[in-house]
Amino acid sequence: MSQPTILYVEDDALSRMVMNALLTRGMHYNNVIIFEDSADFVEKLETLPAKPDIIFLDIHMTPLDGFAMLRLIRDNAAFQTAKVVALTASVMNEEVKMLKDAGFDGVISKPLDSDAFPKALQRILSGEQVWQVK
Amino acid sequence: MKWFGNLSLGVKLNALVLTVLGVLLLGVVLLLNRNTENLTKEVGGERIAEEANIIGSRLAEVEDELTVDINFLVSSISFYQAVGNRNDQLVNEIITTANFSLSLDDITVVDGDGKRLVDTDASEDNSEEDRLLMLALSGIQKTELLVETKAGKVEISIAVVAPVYNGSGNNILGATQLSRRLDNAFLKELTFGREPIHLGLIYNDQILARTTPTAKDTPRLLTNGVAFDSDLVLRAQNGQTVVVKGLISGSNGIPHTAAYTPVLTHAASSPAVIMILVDLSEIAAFQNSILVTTIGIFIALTALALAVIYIAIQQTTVRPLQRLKKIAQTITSGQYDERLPVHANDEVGQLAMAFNEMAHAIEQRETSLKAAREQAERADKVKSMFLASMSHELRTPLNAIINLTKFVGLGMYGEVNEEQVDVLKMTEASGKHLLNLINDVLDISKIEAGSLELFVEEGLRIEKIVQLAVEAGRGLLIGKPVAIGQIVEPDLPPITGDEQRVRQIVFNLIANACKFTESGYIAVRAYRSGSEIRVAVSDSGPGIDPEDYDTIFEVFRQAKAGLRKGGGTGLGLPISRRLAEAHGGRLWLESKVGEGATFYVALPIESVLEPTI
Repeated sequence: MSQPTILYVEDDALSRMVMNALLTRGMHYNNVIIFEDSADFVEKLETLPAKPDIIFLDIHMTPLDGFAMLRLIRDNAAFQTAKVVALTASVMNEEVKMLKDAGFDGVISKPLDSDAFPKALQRILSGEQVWQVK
Repeated sequence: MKWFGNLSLGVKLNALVLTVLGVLLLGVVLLLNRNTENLTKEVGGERIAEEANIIGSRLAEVEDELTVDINFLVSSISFYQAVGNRNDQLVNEIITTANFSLSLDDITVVDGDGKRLVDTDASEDNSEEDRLLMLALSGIQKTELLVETKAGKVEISIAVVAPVYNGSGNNILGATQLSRRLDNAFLKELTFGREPIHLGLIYNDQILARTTPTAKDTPRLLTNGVAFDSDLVLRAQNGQTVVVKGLISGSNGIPHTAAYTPVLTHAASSPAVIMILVDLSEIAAFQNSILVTTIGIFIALTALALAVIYIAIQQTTVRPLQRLKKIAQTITSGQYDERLPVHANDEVGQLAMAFNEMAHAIEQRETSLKAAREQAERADKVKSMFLASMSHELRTPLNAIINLTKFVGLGMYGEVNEEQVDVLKMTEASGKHLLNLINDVLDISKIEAGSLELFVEEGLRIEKIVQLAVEAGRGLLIGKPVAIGQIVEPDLPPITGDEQRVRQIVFNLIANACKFTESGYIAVRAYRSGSEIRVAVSDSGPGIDPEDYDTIFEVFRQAKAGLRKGGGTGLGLPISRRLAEAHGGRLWLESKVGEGATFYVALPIESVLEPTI
């Protein structure tokens, strides 16, 4: 199987650094795109060189939060097949439920469990929904 | 009396009033009845005295008339001449003529030899009549009772005899006798036919004649079942009119008054006596009608009074009380601003005011309670939000610390030597420990605030959870002479719950056992017991003093052994126990100091928890 194209939107530099290291240095994925904020989100999406297979969204950020970005992705016909996963440090059930109801394909909590992460990624790509990182 | 307590207030009061009035009525009736009886006695007494007087006078009149009559007869010239001539035909003519006006029952005339010239009513036995006539022939004029027997019946008459003198009055030519028979008709005449007065002629201890004869008459009963009193008759025979004191009750309870009067008023004695009986039924009926009317009025007034009392009680007490009850119920149901209208300043009004004051106090208290509750809820919310955001803010840097340290240790950023790897691993472990602490503090905060949420899923396999936890425990035991093993009963049913939390519980128990056991074994068993699945973690550690059994489940407290051991937050067991309870399960231990300990967690197979997603 060819490597998936991964988009990650995160405004915290350290979190971006961790994710980037895990994906590129740890898992050796080459097609990793990172947005540092959610400004001009639609325009940035449309100018992407490749359509992402999976998008990780930080929830708490500005000007658009994770939920707003999800809606924009789902409204765009070009991204219908993309899996969208929330990446958040908030682990309250209430929020997990809100994420599911909003239409996310899963959630991965911070701090990242780098050992469990690859498996969760594979499961989501194969069409499963993941609501707890085990 | 329990039934009485259940009655309505109005009915109760009316019952009491009715009882009181009933007793009063009884008293009034008794008093009235006695008064009525006394009145009847008094009126009857007056009446009988009057009647006895009238009858006595009448009898005296009869006697006097007879005397007048006989004097008139014997002084008439034609009569004494006819008697002197012994001309019985002429005498008869004179007598017959005279008797047209005199209407006597018997007139007898004899000559000087005692031979009868005329006898208008001859009887079988003339001996009594003859004795009287002989007395007259000897010059005596006398009034006496004449007792004769006719056709087997005794007849009594008032008779007067007188000698018949010649014109100069010195020679007795004969004698004459006039008599009035004391029969039923005579008695009737004495009463002037007035109904309530009954007369009876008593002679020789029996009634010979009466005013109101019937077919069923007996010799001793006069009428209405009243008999004469022989003793009183005896007294009357001695010439004295006897009025009976008090009332004589006849048949059917009719009251009577009675008197006895001698027939002969001028003589010293009279063998015949007339009993006078006055029937007082009319008076009694009149008195009774007054009694009945009085009782009737009393009862009507009582009914009216009861109605008035009932209505008054309803208006002044029962209705206000019912309103009070309704308002109290309304207030109880949560409408604290309800108030009772106050209509009067009586006890009920005061009760209403007191009630309103109480309702006001309750409302104020409720308002302040509500405010306090809302404040507490707000504070809880703020606390939860604070915890959530704290957690978020702490996790974000920890993400970097733990992972970047690990990545550097893994050589992702260039080669590191063994010493550096060790330092990095220790740094990573410290980061993870810090994360665990944060998680525990967050958990216990949620538990204390009652806002612990389980992420509930179905189909949890306990054997898998146990296996993973034992593997993790094995990692903790590296370098210690402690064996760890698991015994899992086959075909355990899946359970419903928060998998991460169940893992947390089991791992916590195993981690504790690993921490405190220096040598020997740790045995983890999973088995079914009734409607529960149990995981038992047994160790050969130091054991726990019974006095620490409760302490170790308290937040931020550890047993002495734990304190000495150091490390840990002291939150593991309290959190585990509460997590087990949140699943509807239990967590407990069995231990002996020096012989190790066994911690049990029991989770229900049939959970009441609903899957979160």
